[in-house]
Amino acid sequence: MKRLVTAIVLLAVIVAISCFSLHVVERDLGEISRFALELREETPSSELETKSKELLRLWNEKEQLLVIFLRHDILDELTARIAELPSLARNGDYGLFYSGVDSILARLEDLLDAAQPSYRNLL
Amino acid sequence: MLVAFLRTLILYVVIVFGVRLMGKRQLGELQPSELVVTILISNIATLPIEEAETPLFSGLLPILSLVTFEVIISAVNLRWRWLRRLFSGSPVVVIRNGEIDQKRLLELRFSIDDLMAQLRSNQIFAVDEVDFAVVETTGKLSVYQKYAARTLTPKTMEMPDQPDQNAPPLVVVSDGKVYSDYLSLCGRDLPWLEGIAASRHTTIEEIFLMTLDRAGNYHLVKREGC
Repeated sequence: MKRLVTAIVLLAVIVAISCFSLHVVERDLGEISRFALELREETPSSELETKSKELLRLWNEKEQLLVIFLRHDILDELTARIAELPSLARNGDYGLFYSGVDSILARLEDLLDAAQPSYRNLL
Repeated sequence: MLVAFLRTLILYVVIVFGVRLMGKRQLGELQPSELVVTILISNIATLPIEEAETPLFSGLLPILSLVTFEVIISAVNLRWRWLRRLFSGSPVVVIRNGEIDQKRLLELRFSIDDLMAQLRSNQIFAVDEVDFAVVETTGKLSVYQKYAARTLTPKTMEMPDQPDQNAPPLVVVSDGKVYSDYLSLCGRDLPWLEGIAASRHTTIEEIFLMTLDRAGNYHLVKREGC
């Protein structure tokens, strides 16, 4: 009986952690995506460098928790892509800048899709 | 390397906890669902150890989930027999009244070699000694021998019971440490133990192993080098 109760409690904790991880991933990736989308819609200007640095700062902050739930190599890849943006903006490489942001947005969407249960990732 | 070591340590602790939670059933003969869980746990555990990029939770959560499923299913199985049959199957009689049920053997995909091997593992080398044989849900063969082939027991020889022999010997000293509870169970005390040690020209601390039964029969092994 004691084992059964322990197992049920443990299962409840596991489900709670799983739901919490989904909530964290949706919240943080959603926030990063929204910021990246705003960046995408900005016209080329000196503001781009400041905003891309802000994106990097925000990403580094969110990554602290995301690293517990998501694969580290994927997060590292995103870190590298986001870290490139300030330099591209500063040097006026706007084509590469915007394609970099598009790439980041696509990757964030992939991560979000992979975290949310659906027929695509269950089957 | 330190990361791999620490992950291994964490997983080891969690898996030991999981196996303990599943209980002694898991360590004995495995039911089909238990075998599946054991194999899955061992495979899942290697992933976070081998790949540092994989979050530890990716290994811990599935392992603990499997453990909890197994405990809950086995508890539910106790309640409903049909569920038990669904998960574990039913035992199958393959030898009945000394006759081999060839149809059942075929259904089980149990070859003659398998049958003979299982009989030999039960210390039976002649099929005609077997009255009933049952293939359990774990795949093990349980055998009931014919009367004439059974080992003689004091009961069959109508010998009087000896209550003192009904309890097994207990370990009362292990590596110099006295197990007082077991000593009391055998109806002895520490002064008696000290007397025995003295009669064997040793001390309790120098005893590697000592077993004792209720009749007072003991077996003493001294520590090497003493």
